[in-house]
Amino acid sequence: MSELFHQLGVDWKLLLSQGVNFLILLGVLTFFLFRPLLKVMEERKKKIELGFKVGKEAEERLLAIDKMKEEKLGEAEKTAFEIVKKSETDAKSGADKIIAEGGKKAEDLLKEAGQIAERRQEEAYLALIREAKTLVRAAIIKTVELDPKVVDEALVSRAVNEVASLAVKASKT
Amino acid sequence: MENGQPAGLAISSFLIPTEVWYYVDNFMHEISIAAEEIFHIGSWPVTNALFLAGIAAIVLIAFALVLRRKLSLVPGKLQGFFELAVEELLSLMDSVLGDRHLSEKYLPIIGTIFLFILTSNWLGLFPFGFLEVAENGHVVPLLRAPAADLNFTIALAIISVFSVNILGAVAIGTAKHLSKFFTIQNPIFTFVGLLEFISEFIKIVSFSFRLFGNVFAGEVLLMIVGFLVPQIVPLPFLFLETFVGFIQAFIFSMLTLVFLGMAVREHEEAH
Repeated sequence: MSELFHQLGVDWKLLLSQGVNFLILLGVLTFFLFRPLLKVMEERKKKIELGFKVGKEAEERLLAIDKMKEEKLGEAEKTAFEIVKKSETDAKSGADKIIAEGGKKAEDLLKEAGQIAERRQEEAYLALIREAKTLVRAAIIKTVELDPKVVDEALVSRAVNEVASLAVKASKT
Repeated sequence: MENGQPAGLAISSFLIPTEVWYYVDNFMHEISIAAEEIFHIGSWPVTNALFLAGIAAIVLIAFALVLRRKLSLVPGKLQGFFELAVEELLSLMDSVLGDRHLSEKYLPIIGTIFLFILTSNWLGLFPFGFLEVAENGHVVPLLRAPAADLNFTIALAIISVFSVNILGAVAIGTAKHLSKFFTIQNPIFTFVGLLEFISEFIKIVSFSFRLFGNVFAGEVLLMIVGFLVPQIVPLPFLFLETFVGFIQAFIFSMLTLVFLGMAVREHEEAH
């Protein structure tokens, strides 16, 4: 057996050397290559998984925000529509009220203007009566002072003239 | 040496003209099954195969240290390539072990076996034939493919088989693991267990001689072809041996993986 081993070149010292060589290599590669590499790969895998998870969450949140935005926009549109509608109603009722008030005020003004005109007319009439009385009194006085015959004609024409002038004056006022 | 033929060559002499043997005698290295000693460290011999195995280990350690320094979450070209290789190896291990956690646990042993044999085989193919050293009056090549030396293959086979059994015992318990070999349930299982036990030693022989045979045959083939027709013709054989070097590394590591997969499972599952 030992002759066979010798012929094949098998030597326990060389076997041991080769074995130790391999075991040293195994130790170095395990601690300096495979474990750090697996650690880095695992770390990257976790980061990628985390990235995917966060991305998915962000996407979900974005969708939720979009939905919320739509809802808020809908609500805002509805509120704005209601506000506009209410404003229109308020404005309409306000305008009606203002118109009604304006109409009433105009009526009052007209009424007041009518009363003023009536009063002035009465005042003018009273003034006319007063003037007429004065005129008649003056005419009577003149008539008494003059010859009845002459006076009659002159008196009549004078009275007529004066009445006519009074009438013109009255119509002007 | 008879009729001018090197003793190690198993080629029928009547097929080769005598002039060729003259050149073989004078210009070709003697083909030896045993690795040649190139120097001693004290009383410790260092063969050309051990020397190249050391170089292969140093190359791999340097590679590991460089990669370790450049490791980052955003991989560079080197890290990217190595990660791709590791990922493929892990996928392959998953298919055997069925669990990524187990694959990651046993990656160092399988990965190291693969990388070491591959690097050794490929370094052994480098055309460094001109590097020679004189030892005890003989001129011998300075470098020899480590797997073309039985000491390398037997050492790896012993480590592989022992690792499988130790890791199996750690995974399922020593008693359960030993019950695969030694059981008194019934005579058939006892006999099968004994056969299994013997087969563990046979595995060492099978592992070591398969790798040794393939690589040594490749070395001899390249040497003879290179000697007979030095130009161009050896090139296809070099490619072939590159492929063989890869395949042998792959087979060795995969067989270790399969045996490991069987060892770390429960007894019932394995059957």
